[in-house]
Amino acid sequence: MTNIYAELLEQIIVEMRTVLPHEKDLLPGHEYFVWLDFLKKVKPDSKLFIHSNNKIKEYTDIREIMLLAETNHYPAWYIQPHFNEEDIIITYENGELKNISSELTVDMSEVWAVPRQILKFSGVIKGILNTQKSFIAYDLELAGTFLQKKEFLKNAGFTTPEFALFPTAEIASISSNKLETSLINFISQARESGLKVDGISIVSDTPLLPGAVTQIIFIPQTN
Amino acid sequence: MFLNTIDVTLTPRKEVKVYNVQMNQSTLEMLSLIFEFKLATTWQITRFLKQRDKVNYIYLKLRRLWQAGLLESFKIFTGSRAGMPVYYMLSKRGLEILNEAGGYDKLRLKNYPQAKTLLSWNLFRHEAEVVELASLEAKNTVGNLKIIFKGETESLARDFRSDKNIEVLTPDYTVFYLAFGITEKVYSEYERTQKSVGAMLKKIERYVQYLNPDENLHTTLRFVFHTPQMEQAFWLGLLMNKASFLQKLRIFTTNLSLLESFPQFLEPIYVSEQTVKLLKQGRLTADLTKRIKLFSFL
Repeated sequence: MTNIYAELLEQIIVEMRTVLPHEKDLLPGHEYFVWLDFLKKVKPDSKLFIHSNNKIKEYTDIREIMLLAETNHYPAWYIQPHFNEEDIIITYENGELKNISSELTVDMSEVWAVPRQILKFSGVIKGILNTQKSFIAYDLELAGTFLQKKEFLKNAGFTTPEFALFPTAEIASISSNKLETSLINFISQARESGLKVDGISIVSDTPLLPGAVTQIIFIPQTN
Repeated sequence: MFLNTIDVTLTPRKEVKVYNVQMNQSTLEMLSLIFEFKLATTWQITRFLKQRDKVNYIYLKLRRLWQAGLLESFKIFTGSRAGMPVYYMLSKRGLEILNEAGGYDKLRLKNYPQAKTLLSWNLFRHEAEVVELASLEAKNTVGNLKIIFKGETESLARDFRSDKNIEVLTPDYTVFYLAFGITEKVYSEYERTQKSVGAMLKKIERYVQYLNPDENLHTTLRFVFHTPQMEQAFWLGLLMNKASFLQKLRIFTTNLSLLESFPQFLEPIYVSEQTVKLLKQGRLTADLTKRIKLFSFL
């Protein structure tokens, strides 16, 4: 029964998308986001969220992110490098590697660290190539928490980028300069390991912006 | 050198070439700053205005305002590294100019202290520290963060509802932090001398009673104490006698030992209800070890 209602909800949202301006042009609190938030509660793995996450909001001022953390009552956020290169999308169907797509011209036979099989898995895995042509998987489009996704990728045999907790609980007692410096250090470490990184991806298991947005990007101005 | 104001006199203006000062926005802004903070040195005015005007221009303009008789000036040894800075205050003519400009109500202009009052040692030390603190804080305006001020004479709030027309709020200055579409108002009180618990509670009570509860969400009452000991005594008194005030008003405190340079205003130097702890080590004390920033976005 819940599924039927969730599908009806998805239809309503899809119809709204056709008549309303683009999400980014709607004001926070718009009815559209209320419907989207409700869908996130009843069907967190809805395909609509895969689409809405395509346009990830970028921040260049760390203080704005600190304010966001306070508004969200200091939730658990994770950080991982944000890559400055073309994504490679790997699709699996019924446990078998089905397709590899990328705008890069890469001979995939030379690419390392891509498992041919993942038991019973159907879905999409996103990643990039490092300088040694090894595939680094940073996301998969499947319902689950950030840590569950990391665990899944690791168990499947993928190499994943370093991640850490964003210090939301310390925001009241850490200056924006110090926080920015520590995030820039995180970026530098990722670069030292041969990755093209331009910022930090901040991921939350709960919505951090209206419209069930669970991911934002921080690009430091002093990059 | 003297560390008092007994021998201080206003600088005589004789044999000085008089200039006709152009009354533009910049001139009025300088006069307003000196009016609101009662007195200020050149470098303090510079800290407030240098985002817009060049330092040399401000120096010259203040000198000409004095030559034109709109300001009074005096030199005083403050016991600090600054040596003997030149302080400016408004002259009678300066007050008339502000009155003609119409930015302030007449009662406030009338209440501007006379030179002999401002030069009493205790009042001078208080006002000099207030304008020093505010001008240091002003230096933190950068990029998306704007910090603007109302000095004491413009911060006072009177209760016109009663026939008595009494002052209900008497902050030394009010600061507005503007960032990312949010405006945070900070009523700031500098406490140079130890006051009784009763007097401090009465002061807070006036804020609690006067401020609109809807307004409190973005309003902070900040005390800057002269010493760490005064800050500790304040928290002990507040927690033991009227902790309920903390649910009605956002109260933050710090002390001068943590404010030696301007960036420190944005650092975790404040104690609030979230960080203070009562400790019993023989006698009851307030533990102020943990400190936070004034706002999360700083």
